[in-house]
Amino acid sequence: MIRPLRRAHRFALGVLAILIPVLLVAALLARRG
Amino acid sequence: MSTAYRAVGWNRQKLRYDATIATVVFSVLAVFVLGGLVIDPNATIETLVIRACGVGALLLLHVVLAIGPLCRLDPRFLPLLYNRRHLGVTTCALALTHGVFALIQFHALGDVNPLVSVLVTSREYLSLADFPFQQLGLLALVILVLMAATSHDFWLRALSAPVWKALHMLVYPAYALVVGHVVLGALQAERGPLLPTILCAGVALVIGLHVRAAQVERRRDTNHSAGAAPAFIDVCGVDDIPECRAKTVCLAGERVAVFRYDNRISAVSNVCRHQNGPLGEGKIVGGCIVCPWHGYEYEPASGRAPAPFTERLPTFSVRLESGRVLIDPTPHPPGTYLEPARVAAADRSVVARSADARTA
Repeated sequence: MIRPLRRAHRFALGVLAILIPVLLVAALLARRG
Repeated sequence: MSTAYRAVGWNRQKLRYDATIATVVFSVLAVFVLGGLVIDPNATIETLVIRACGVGALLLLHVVLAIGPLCRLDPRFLPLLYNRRHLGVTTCALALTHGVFALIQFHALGDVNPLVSVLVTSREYLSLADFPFQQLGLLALVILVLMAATSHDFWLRALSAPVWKALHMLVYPAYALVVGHVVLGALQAERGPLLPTILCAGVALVIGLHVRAAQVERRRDTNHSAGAAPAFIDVCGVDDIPECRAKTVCLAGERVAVFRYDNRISAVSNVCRHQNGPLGEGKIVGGCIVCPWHGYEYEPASGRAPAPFTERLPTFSVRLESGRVLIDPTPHPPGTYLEPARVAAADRSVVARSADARTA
């Protein structure tokens, strides 16, 4: 980044960075069969 | 560097960049469609186009998202950043083709409007296996289209840099929606481990690169941010800055690029007025700082773009003491001329002597 990210942006990106893998694994485990 | 709307100003670099993108994209699509025909001879051409464009857009989105942190970690990736917007627009075009074909194939034959059909066909929001994944794709597509439509300097000016940047940061929620669209859609019917593994690797790569780049930048920033800010802050030694290059430091929460050129030192904001490019990673050519992203130029002492251009950067007062560079973290208004600090022979010899003393 060019200038340090604001705290809210850092928080939002952090939430996404955790949420994406969690949902990915959950959806893969929930596959039929 | 114009406020008026102009079509893309083609040059040799841009033509080569776009020719490479077109060649790679069409090759991947051709391989995917032909390979699909061999694996599944019963698949219709529409189905193969839907799959090929979907995979192409997903791959390209990963490349687009990886370029930013890669450039932060290693400047050798900077040529990829130049015209990254062309990659983004190509991603959007592939995703749009995927979406339109899917809309026609799966939603156009009923008596409900196809777009309404996407929104009402399934409402199993609490089920992972039956989640209406197409709605996630539609939302991601809306974001990608908005980004592609505003991917021009005209819109950067019209919307203002903060609004434009916020709009384009939506690429991260769009990425999350795309991953959800794929894993809750195509991968639910997929039995083999190959595709889930590739998707997991892609997600890990994108997140890993961003986290690594953030760690590196945080370490750089904290070097100069600790403690209460005195009037002038010691940021580095004179000889830490290569000739015609800069050292980037973080002062009072903002990054400052400290340039050395012709035995002079000037400090300006690190943020290019064009697209927030990192000026401290650029160099001085012909007496002007050149942004490494798109070549915008600024005079180091005044932060002003050379006439007829009008961009201006905040400047910072610089002082030299015993071979050390001291910066006042309070910025001067954009375009304020400040006499550069002169590097005397003594400044360099002091550094040399201290280095000798350390190694002795």
